[in-house]
Amino acid sequence: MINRLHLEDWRIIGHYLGVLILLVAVAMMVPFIMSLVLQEFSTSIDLMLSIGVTAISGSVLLFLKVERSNLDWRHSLVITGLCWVVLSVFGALPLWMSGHYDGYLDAFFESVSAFTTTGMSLCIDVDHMALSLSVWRCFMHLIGGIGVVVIALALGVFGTGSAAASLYHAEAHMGQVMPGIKQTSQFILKVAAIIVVAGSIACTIPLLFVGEEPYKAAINGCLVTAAAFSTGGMTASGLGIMGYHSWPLEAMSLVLACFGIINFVLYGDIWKGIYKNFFKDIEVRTVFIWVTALVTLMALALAGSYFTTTGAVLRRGLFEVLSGAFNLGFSTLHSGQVLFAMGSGALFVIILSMTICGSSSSASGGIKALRIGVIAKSVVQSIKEALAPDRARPRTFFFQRGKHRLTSDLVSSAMIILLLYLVMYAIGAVVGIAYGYDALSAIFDSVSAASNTGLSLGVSSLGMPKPLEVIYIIEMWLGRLEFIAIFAMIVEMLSFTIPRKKFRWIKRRKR
Amino acid sequence: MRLRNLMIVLIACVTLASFTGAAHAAPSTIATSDGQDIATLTDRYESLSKLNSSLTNEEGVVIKTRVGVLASINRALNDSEVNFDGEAVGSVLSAGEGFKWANIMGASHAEISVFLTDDQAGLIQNVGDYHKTGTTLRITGTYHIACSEHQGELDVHANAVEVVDNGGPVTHLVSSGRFRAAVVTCIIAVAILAGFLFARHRLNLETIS
Repeated sequence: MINRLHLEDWRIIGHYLGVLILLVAVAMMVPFIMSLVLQEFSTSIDLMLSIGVTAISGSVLLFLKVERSNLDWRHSLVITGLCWVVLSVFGALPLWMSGHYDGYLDAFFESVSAFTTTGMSLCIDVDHMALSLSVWRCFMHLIGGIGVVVIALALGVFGTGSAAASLYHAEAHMGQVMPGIKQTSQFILKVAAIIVVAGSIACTIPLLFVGEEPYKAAINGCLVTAAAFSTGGMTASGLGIMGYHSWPLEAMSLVLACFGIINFVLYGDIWKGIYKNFFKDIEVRTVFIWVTALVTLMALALAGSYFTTTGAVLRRGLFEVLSGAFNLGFSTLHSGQVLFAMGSGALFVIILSMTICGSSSSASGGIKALRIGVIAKSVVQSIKEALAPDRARPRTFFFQRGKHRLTSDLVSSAMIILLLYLVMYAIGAVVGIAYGYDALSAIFDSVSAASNTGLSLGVSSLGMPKPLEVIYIIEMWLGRLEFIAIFAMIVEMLSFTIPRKKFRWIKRRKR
Repeated sequence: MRLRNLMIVLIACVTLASFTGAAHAAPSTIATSDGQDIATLTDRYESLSKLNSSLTNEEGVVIKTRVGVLASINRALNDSEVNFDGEAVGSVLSAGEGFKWANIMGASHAEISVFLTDDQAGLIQNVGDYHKTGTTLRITGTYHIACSEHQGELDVHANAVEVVDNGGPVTHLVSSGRFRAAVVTCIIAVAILAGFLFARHRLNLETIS
């Protein structure tokens, strides 16, 4: 039995969505100012028009609830679920107006891909696109990586009560560094700002070394940093990270992605000097073991491929597998090289690398290391139970900011999410195959979209079938929010629109 | 705990050894006794390879092709001399003493990295971006699908370069209608927002009184 949302609830939800839409309008000021500085005036007007349309929409929605109102957990779920799509709708406007996309749907795909930190792109001719639009794409990465709701919480948009906590959890964040959700969100924002500033400097230096003009080096350094830390994958070059021809930059992007996949809460512990929380953390250990296994498999798979020198194995094979494992989406290989020069073994390892991704409460999407760690621990628990005497009740623990007992609830929840991801990978792959794509490519791109990685073998490219594009958009959206918030939102919406008689298990809310 | 640490060290060693092994043990090409390429997924490209092998077997043949074909990988053309046209985009970057990298874009917007000498790179007067169309070059060079000299990069080592078109500034027309619409929407947005803030302020005053 669930409580049905009343019209009043939808007014509250609409009002807060309006606030978030206004935040996107404010965020668009950054590329707008950039476009003026870089004298990209045609793009300035596109951005100005987008800001205007976005701000009007947000402001009108504010009127749905003029008086101050408090959110409850159901509002939080619906707001979190809807905001990623609604914000992408407006984020796509300047991209669409630029003429670098084959219609609004392609621009919307790009916007969803950017906000969900996936990094798949349908842009036509990135190199001739205004640099300010590349800034907007990477800025969307950064907003999505830190978390739309986290930024809003840090700015105090949603207050500090239980609703703030619901929003925080609904956006797939877990754990707190500070006593309050607002303080925790502000801490996350500070950490992100420090990493982005330091990373931008570190990424600019290699670009200067390869002879890039200073202002271009600085902008591209910032873009690569934003994309890498948020585990996105978009750059201002049509060749992606390859276009910069700098291995130190590639290495730096991996380091930044590594920062991005760490649970933001652990930064708080490191800040306080509690290093053991980091080294004993189940997610850190799971990622370490997972990456080590993948790297070993990749090394074996590359034997017999076209990549024969140590440099090639490291710069192509190792980078590609780490990019997948860190949810990064940068690639040092053309899709054809992956298909026809690496071999199917390496291709399989890359697909595998994309499935799990980073930690909970990090910039990455995907199944998350915590769930895999919990499932692995449950296997240990099962073995212990099988070997233990009848009356003995063996217990298994895992460490995440303290020792926790492994419970069946935890295991079943991890298994459900894992299963949902696998089903989603399969659906995307089957639809791709149905459209005539090669099975391996279809599986690769489906896993990449659903895990928000962004690597592609060419399925998600200009001219892809529109229904498949929609499927990928849904995959990116569901993958980012880990299903539950979306499912809850869909049920709430259904319960609002479908008459009560048809859904007896939905209880009308008493007012 | 010690056992766990030992395991971690062991896994790290295996990884390192595997990489070193893969790098040194792998053959440069995979071939059956009769010289046929048996690399994975060959069957899907078998027909294409057969089609092109007749061309590549002859020495001194320059294959006229397009950037899109090269960027999508054609194993039959590996290590052969190719000729194609494309626009220099992005930036011309240093590739060590006396050499440069240029990103060359074809008509289909596919791109490939081209390794040039400083003299050849000097022919590039413009690189394509928002403000400019880049110099279009006709490049003749050796195509590598995994260049051993450049850590497996898909590239072309240019042997000869000629300029087809110098490129130059691009004019982006500013639509006055769109500009007016942008100004009007921004003014309306500010007005609505101000209206909301005023309404809320009044409501707050009423609540207090």
